[in-house]
Amino acid sequence: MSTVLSAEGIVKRFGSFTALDGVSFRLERGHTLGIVGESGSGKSTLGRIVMRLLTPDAGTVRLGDQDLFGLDRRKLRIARRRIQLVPQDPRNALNPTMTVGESLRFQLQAQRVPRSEWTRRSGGLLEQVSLPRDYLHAYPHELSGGQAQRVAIARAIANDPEVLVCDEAVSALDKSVQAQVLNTFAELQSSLGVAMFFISHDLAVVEHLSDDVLVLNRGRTVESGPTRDVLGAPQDPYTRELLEARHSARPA
Amino acid sequence: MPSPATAGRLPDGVPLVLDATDVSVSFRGSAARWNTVVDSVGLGLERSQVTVLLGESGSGKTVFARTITGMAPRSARVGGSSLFDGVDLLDAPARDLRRLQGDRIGTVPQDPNSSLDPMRRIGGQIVETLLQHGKAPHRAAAKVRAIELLELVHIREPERVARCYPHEVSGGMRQRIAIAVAISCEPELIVADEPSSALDASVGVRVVQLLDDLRTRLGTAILFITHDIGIAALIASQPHDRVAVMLGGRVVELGFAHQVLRNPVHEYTRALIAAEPSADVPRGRLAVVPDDVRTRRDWGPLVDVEPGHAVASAARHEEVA
Amino acid sequence: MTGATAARAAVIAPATPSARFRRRGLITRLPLRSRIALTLLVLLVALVLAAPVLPIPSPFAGDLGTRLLPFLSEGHPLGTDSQGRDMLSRLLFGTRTSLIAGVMPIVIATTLGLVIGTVAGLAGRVVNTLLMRGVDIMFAFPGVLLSLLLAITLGVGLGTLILALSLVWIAPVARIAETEVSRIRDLDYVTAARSSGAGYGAILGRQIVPVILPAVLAYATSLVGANVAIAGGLGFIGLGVPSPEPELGSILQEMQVAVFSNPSLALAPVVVILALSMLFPLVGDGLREAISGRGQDS
Repeated sequence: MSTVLSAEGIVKRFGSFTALDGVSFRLERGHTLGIVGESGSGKSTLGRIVMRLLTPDAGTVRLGDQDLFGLDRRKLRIARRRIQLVPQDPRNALNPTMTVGESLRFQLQAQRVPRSEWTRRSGGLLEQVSLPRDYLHAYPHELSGGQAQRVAIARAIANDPEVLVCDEAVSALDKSVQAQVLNTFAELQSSLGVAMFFISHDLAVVEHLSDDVLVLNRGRTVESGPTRDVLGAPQDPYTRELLEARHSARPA
Repeated sequence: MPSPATAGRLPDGVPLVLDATDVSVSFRGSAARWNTVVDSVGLGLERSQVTVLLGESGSGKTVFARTITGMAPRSARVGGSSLFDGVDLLDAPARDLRRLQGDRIGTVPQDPNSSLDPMRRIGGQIVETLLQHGKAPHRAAAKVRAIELLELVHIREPERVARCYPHEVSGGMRQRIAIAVAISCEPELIVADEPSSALDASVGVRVVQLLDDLRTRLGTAILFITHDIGIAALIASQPHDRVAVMLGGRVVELGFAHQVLRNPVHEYTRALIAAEPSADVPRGRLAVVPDDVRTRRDWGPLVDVEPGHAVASAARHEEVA
Repeated sequence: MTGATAARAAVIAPATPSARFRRRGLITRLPLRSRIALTLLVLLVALVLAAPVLPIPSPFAGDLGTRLLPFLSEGHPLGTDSQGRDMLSRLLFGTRTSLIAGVMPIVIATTLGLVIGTVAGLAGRVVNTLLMRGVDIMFAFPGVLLSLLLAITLGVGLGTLILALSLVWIAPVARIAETEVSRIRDLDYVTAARSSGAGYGAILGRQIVPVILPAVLAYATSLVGANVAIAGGLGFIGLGVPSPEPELGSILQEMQVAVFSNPSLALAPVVVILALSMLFPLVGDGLREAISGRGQDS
């Protein structure tokens, strides 16, 4: 198994507030790692750090075998192709002045894909997220939340990344729409072999989609391991508390 | 044989806190067309009873709830009636409405930050509300009552919290305080619009449990809006609690909570329940609500399937066929 | 074509939008009032630009024997001014100068303001503070005083006028641009663009500027109206173009002598200034609405 993304001892402080205090993980090719925690746990901060949108105060992040924060500008541009973000809010995930097609083409152009390929590939991307080709001409405000989110996913997989960082990617969606998008993620993983770094506060979603899980509480790793083990037989009281809340709110 | 108009309704003779009949709400859209957001919906709310409005965004549940409590947006065209203690809230003058809403209908909003004034201390805000609605004879009595209310919503160290500003306490606590304000006037009806969705799961669960507990103790009716089946199941804990599933501005299934959530008849309700992710469902195989179900508008009137449980007639026929 | 090639052609050929996403062109989306204003404006500008080739007397040719003739006099449909020069001709050429003095500074100010505001919006706190406090200082400086100072140092003329007015308007445009950029810089699509590997130029030019442009342009168009009036005002007090060059403000100044004997004549330049300062915002407003229809967050 090769590790596509890993981190050692990540520390991040904002003034006197410690968002992350020594977090480490490994993500293997084609697998899904669920990062679960409540608000203030540091999970979003971790997501931004692995995307190199934020610089940690200590610790390393490795994309494959490269030190992510040691890359120069040219190497970074190339590395960016390998790790892409699917954000939370479908309303702000897409540029409102660009059609779906234009947004996708921007992504392709950023990685120097030849112009002749653009139309074919953008049409293909929509197909992969089960949207009709016609939607290439749609503006974001003409899409529903679920459709916009699927376009955001299409954009993220445009250049065949190795890792998708999903930051609460289904949290803003209605439950039944969420189901459709989760199915899309599963299909993409099996067809593209992409690994997923799946950040969510929703234990049910994480349990459904992840192979391994990392539980964060106030910036610290509370528990980690295969999903079945951690959520089936939790060792830590905090994990048990989270599971309790989930089981209370469950249709009988 | 119950007629369609009374399908799913509570038996006659049950005292209703609020009786909404045939409520329709439309907004003017582009090209001067009117969009119907709520389409002939009726609902009866009883004391000590939770009624859950279960639906997704765009179902009209929030607009319906606000309309039947007299808070429809001004640009809307409203039809039907909503009787509260003999007063039709859809027709009453603004002054009467305000009095009723402050005194006898409480609201718990989704956003815990919107109901509290960030510039004033928490205790002071509760005291002002009590005095304004004449629920305390003078300030000293109001202060005592404010502390009582904070205790009622399970806030530890209520005196300390009363001296704090809203931003100095957590989101969950702000929501409890919003509930405290809502119950401060001993309302007969509380409308809670997704009160837990902006909170962490464990905090949200405790807030919902608090509301459940309060309705038993105080005898209030609760109209609870949510898109989350698990939360719906949590709040509708008593046998006489009801669930109304809304889709496209109509109620497509209505019945007692255990009926609707355990034996759903309408395909939409079934799909909502099946869409819950869990480890048991293989990846990529979660149930999805088909587009034609989601966008359909002609479900027909409600028809009984068993006592107290009704489903939109169109769905019913498909099942029988 | 065989089935396979046809299929490949369908995949490769650019897809045309179905009826669902077909949209009307920009002009047709303009509201009625803006279309009327735009038509009037275009007509006016065409007329004004055509002035040199129209069969009207020169704006400089004055016959003292025919001073202050009223409307509809022979050979002078709008009469003559205090020096016997044809008013219609004076007004046409004067409007041309006023339009240049009205539009050019806004074009310059918008370009510079956009650049300064965008840079400040994207930069770190230090650069942003430096730039925006500089903008605040410019804001505080009154336009008339600036024009006076420049006129003294550089001499009165169209160039000085344009320079002074450009400087005045950079500050408000920069503010709008900076506010808009700050609003969108942390939104998810900008983040996605930053992580795409695209260069700064592409991100700026295709992701950021198009989003802020409608607000900036709408503001800028409304400024033209105000600026025409201000240029007229400066011309009135003698800081515009020197006579005998016609300019609406200076014409108004010259016609003061006739304000009681021939008020309609004397106030003709005011009518033109008013018309211009109303037509431009009407167009700008409608333009913003039409562009918004494309999907701006409102």
